[in-house]
Amino acid sequence: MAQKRPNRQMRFRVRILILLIVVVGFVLVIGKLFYLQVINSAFYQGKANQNQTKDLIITPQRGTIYDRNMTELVTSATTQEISVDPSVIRENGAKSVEKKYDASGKPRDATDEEVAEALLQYQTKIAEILAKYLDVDEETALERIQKDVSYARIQRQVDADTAKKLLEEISDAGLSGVNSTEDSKRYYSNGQFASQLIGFTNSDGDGLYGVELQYNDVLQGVAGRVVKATNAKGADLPYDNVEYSAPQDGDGVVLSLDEGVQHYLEKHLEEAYWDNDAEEGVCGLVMDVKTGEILAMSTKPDYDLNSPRVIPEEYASLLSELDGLEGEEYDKKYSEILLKLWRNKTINDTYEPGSTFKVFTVSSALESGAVSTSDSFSCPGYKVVDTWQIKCWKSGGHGAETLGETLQNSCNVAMMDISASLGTDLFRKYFEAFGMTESTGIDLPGEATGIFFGDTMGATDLATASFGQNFQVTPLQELCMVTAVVNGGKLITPHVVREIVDSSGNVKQTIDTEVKRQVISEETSAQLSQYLEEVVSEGTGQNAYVAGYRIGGKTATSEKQPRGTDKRIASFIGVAPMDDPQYAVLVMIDEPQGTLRGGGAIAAPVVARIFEDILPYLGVEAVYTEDESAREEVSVPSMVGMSREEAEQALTELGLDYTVVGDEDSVSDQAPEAGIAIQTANTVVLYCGTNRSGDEVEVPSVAGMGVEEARVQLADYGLFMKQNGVADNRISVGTIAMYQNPAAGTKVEPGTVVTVAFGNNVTSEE
Amino acid sequence: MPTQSARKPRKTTARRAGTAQRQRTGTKAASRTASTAVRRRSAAAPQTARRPAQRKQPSTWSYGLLSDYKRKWDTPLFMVTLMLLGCGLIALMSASYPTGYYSTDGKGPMFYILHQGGFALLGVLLMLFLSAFDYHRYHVLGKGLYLASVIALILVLTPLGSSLNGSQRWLFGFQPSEFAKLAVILTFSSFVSLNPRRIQKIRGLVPYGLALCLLILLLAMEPHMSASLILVVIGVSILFVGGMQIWYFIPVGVLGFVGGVGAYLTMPHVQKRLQVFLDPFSASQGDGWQASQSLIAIGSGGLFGLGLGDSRQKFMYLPEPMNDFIFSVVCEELGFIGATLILIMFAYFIYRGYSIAFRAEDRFGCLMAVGITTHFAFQILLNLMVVSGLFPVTGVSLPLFSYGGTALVMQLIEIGILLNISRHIPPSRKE
Repeated sequence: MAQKRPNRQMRFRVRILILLIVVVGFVLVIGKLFYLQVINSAFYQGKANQNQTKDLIITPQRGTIYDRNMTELVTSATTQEISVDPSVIRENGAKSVEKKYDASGKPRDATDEEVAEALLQYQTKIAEILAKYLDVDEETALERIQKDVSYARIQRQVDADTAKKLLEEISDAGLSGVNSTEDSKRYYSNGQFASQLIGFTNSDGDGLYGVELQYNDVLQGVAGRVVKATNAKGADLPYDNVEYSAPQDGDGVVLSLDEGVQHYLEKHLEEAYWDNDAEEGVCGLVMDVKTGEILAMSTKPDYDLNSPRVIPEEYASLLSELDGLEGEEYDKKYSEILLKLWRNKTINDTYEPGSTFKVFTVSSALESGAVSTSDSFSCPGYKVVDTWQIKCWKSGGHGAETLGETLQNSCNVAMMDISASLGTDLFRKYFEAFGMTESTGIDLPGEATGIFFGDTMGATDLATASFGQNFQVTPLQELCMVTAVVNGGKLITPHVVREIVDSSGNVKQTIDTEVKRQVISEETSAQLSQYLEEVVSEGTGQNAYVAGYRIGGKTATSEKQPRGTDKRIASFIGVAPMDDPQYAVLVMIDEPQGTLRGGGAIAAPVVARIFEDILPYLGVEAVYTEDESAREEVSVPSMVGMSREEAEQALTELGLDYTVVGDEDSVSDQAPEAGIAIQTANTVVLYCGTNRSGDEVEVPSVAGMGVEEARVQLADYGLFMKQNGVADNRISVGTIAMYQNPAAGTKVEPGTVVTVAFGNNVTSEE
Repeated sequence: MPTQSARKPRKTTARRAGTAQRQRTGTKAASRTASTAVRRRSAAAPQTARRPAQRKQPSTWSYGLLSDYKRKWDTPLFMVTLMLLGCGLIALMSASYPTGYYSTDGKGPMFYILHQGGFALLGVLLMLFLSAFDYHRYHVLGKGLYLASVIALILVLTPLGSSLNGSQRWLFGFQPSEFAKLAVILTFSSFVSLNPRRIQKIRGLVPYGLALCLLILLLAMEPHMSASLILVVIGVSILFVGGMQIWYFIPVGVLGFVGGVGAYLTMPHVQKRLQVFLDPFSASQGDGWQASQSLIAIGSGGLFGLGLGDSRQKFMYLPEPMNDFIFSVVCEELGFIGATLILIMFAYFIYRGYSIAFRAEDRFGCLMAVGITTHFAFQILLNLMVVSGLFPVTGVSLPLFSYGGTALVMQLIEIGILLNISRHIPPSRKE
């Protein structure tokens, strides 16, 4: 029954099948694969990466901020971020359901309700542990755990120890789904220090204020990444290479700020703030006249950089504003106060500069030739401009005065005359030349630029502007103008950063001094420097005098807008040493509440104290003139064990007075102790046979006393006086003690030197 | 000169076209022509005379059962089978690794490959055995197998069968549907080759239709639609080569088209299926998940692939990566180049199968070879088209690659039969 072989038709049809399947079918499939894998591969690779990889960001260490001597002011430390994976928790929580048995004892599947209950229990246990270790309450934690996501942050910047303990407890309890990743936290070594200048960051590590904001790009570094392949459930693959790009730590920033100078500035500003009850705070600046570097910058009241969102307790008057407020109102007021504390008054706020601006008027007029040094002026106490009678601050007027004396007297009438001869156009030209209409270009965020007259600047505008009223500038703009006047006429860009260094401290970039332009000639500059020195030595700036140093400066008291509210701003700009100006200091007291509100009365002494501290610190040597020899301090030698004659001779050679207590021949004790420096006006006590009392004494108050009265008062307590303040040749009946350190009531060892600053009781508003 | 040489083939084409014309116009005439051609050729080849002589030789018992082992088989088919099986096992090992690794019942990463390896060994032994087992015996055995398949398909619906994912397909660990496929191949080939004239009339096709319908009905109850589809394609391919009138396909095609359009217009889920098919990413988290994950796997492989064993999509992205979507993993790991090489092997394998049908000793062999090869061809292409997004997702495994013991053994059995058919090819046609 052998069959026939396949006939021709069958073979033909087999051929059709071959054609259809082998050729058409496979060509179609290969074509599609070619499209998917070659032509459009990138699209699918993108999809695959999106699908399969988990991208983790590794935060780089934020750069350190140093002061000019490489003292670390701000550092970063590694902390942990605690997060949860709600999807993992959900999965494991559902699995945690106990085995269920049906009536006959056979295992059965748990019902949905039972699973849900077990899950909730699981989630609650985790929430409990989180609440125990972190600043989060259980409810909030539970809420985040139950989110329908695979990542929910619980808290950042948890210190490593706490994080470790927390994770241990989680795993001990047989729970999972809580993760800890590296994080970083900012530490401000001095806390409440240069707060507005340095600024702070948010919890993501981005700068919000100050240098932290301005140099954010430099400090933040480049984030590293870990790209991990994961399976569809988000877990790591059992084998696969992980792509890792290391984070690049942020660069460090070296400030021009000097930690010591900043401390002195802050100390004295703080005192000025409390002493004058300054309603709107005080601010101050120390600037290198030659380089434009800011050595110190501060605004008080301020805040602690380590907890920038908390009003410091010491500001009771600020906190009292919150009394009686609740809820939203409280929060609103609280943040309002915080915003004020965060402001850097020296650059963010503008003010009417007042009489310090007279430096501008005189130097511009002198430079332009509108006036000459030999010109004389006369002040009847007022000047009529466009039917307006504008008064000088001194009723009755200053009478006849030279150009230099107009500054010493801070005479408004003379300024009006000088500006009138300068003219509106030149006034405006110099105003612009001194950079008063533009930002100073300081490397800090939020710099204001002030308000000046438009094109309609009239004669009265010019007249009032001549003594610094009716327009506004920032304190920094004002200081920059004065530094340009005293440093040879060069307007310099101020800056707070000197260098950018990498994370190992190698210098990557140096910020050089930038001279914007020559505004006035060196001759004019030298002349003005002399005038400014005379303001302190002869004129209204007498309270800025520092023995041993040649200080120049200008006082200012400006009336705040709106006029008539009797709110003042007292300020003083000082420069030292005047033979070769190096440092300029500005102190501004906004709305002082005391009886004394003039710049010469309250701001000048602060500048004097700042200079007295920072000049020796910065290595400027004191040179005492003959007149000042009494202010020079002499180091008391060790005389214990010497014979009485020897000791007496030694003291006489040093020019020190002495008294002797006891009648033995050799010195058994001395006051003050050896090595302490005292002014020669003090009397050394030699104990021969007896010893001085070791009991502490309470420093008496010398406030309001004259020089000698105060010295005697202190000597009664066994204390020595260091006389500061107005020069001896300016001492008059009205000269009284205005400041003492240590303060009255402080317990000190006998023989301690008490610094007492005397001032002429300048009741004037200058 | 070029004009002349160009003319020659044109003449040949014209002549062939003429032949085809004749075939279409009258079946009787066509078959006469065909048979004359065969007769003429066998007369022209004296070697064919030797074959009956061989049969007359005295034989041992083993000669009786496996009398064909001495005949030369189609070595290329055997080689490409082993190569595909090897590739398939390697691919399976890689693709099944994560599923085993993550399995909660302790299967372990090597579970699937060890299992499949065992079946492959069994299958190869059966293939070798059947390659020496004279296929003419299937005239009788086929009917038995059909009957057994029907019984098994009924049994699988009883509590004796076991189910997975809502389909009751397994009877004591194997799938009766796999036997049904072979049963259809054997019985259809046998009947068509014995009664070639009958299927040229519609009435003659009725028994075949009924035989298929019975199986489809039983499969529909599991349900197992893709197996039904394969059965139909196998059956139709045998009838087609066996001489069924081609114009029968026209009303079937029209009916199918109208039905399809009607279903699209009336049933929203069909529209949605089509929408998902056309743009799987539009529903990548839902219905389009499988298709889009497969496309991502294939596409991300690129030209050269991620490297053997380095697929990422097999990590729980692809559903059952060792099963229907094993080729996606292959594409991802080996890239376009590797995948194309495997596709060429598959294509060659199918070509070889049809080539055996083309050269078979008799019609029975030819039709069986067509049925077996079409079974492979259709399933391979359907699977490839599903994974590459040319066809909506249907559960079709890739022969010789996908995980599944019964299927693999049955496939190797079919190849064994094919090899036996190749042993009977008249020496004059052996290559």
